[in-house]
Amino acid sequence: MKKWLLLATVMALAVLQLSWPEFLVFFHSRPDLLLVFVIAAVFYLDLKTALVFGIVCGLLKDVFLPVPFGVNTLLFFAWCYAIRLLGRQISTEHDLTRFAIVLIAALLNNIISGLQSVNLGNLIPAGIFLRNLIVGALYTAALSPLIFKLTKKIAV
Amino acid sequence: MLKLPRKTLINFTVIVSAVLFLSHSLTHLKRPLQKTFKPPLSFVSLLKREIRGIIFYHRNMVENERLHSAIDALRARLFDSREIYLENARLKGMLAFKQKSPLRLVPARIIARSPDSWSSSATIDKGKYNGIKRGMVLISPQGLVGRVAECSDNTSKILLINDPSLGVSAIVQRSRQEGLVNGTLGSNLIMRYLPKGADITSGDLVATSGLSQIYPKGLLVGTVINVGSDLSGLNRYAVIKPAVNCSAIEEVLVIIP
Repeated sequence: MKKWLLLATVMALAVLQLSWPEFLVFFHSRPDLLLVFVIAAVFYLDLKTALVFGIVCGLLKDVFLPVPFGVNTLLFFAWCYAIRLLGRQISTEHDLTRFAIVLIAALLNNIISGLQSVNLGNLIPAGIFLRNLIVGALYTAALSPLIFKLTKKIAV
Repeated sequence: MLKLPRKTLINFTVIVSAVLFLSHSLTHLKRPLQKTFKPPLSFVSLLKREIRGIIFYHRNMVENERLHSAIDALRARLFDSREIYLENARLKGMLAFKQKSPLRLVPARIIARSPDSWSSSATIDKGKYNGIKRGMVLISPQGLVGRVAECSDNTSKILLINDPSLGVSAIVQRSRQEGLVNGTLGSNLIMRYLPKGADITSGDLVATSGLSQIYPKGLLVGTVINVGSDLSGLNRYAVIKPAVNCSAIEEVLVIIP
């Protein structure tokens, strides 16, 4: 039952991300709600379930992107694993630590997506690259407490 | 002839005089009387109102709630009507454009936008069943919108004109100078590979050149807002404000070749 509820949450977050209201777009940047959900799943669920949700969220994101298929699926899977490994080394119980983890994951995710776009031959001005990188990651991290709370309520 | 008794006549005269005198005196008495009675009258009126308020408190509260919900419902209806009005205006414009245009056009609605900030793409509600194929061009009455990147049966993924992977061969309408227009992920486009002495200035209109065979000739791309030189100094570039606001567009027309 819990897993179905979590799946419904993933669907709702995907729909929200795909139809993010224009007045909530800051400097052409939107938050990556699915990435936050995947990180929250690592904190509140067992690794196996979190990895499955990571793949589902990555696939959902890839379906609606015009980039080579599977990049986000791989990345989300990798973030799940990396955060679980990190959790063995440091305490990830504190809210600020979790915020920092989301920020770093969003920054790295954005760097990889941006460099992939550049690698495909797209010329992105440096200012726009940095804006997407930093504002996007900050926006994602800023919304993370809400999704953490939602995930915790359903999962725990 | 009518004869009135003297007594009656005197009485009548006295009464009329008394009334006339009193009415004349009352106008002088009116203001001070009103002034004197105003505080107690106001107090009584206030008391009555408050007592009525206390007695009918529950009824008023229920009525207040009902009126509030009625206002909310009317506000929602007003908002809906405004949305419908705006949509109607947009669709009328598109229909007029479709009827005037010599091109075969299929109208489509944008149903989803790019889930990240590294591409400017969207999903439309028309696909293979509606005759849409990969590579088809999208326009709006304002100008060029983008190109179909992928097609499924009922939906299509489209690249908007401000996506950096979309290149459009374009010309400056005034001087016929050719260049390549690319998206920047920002709100403006960039026209590159312009020679050093290219005749291009701010305010020039840029349209598709028709050289790439993908985009029909003469579709408005945007207006030049700034011209500069490359770092190498060999070429110039122009910053173009697109004719279509990609972040706000809701309906598009797909050109069927």
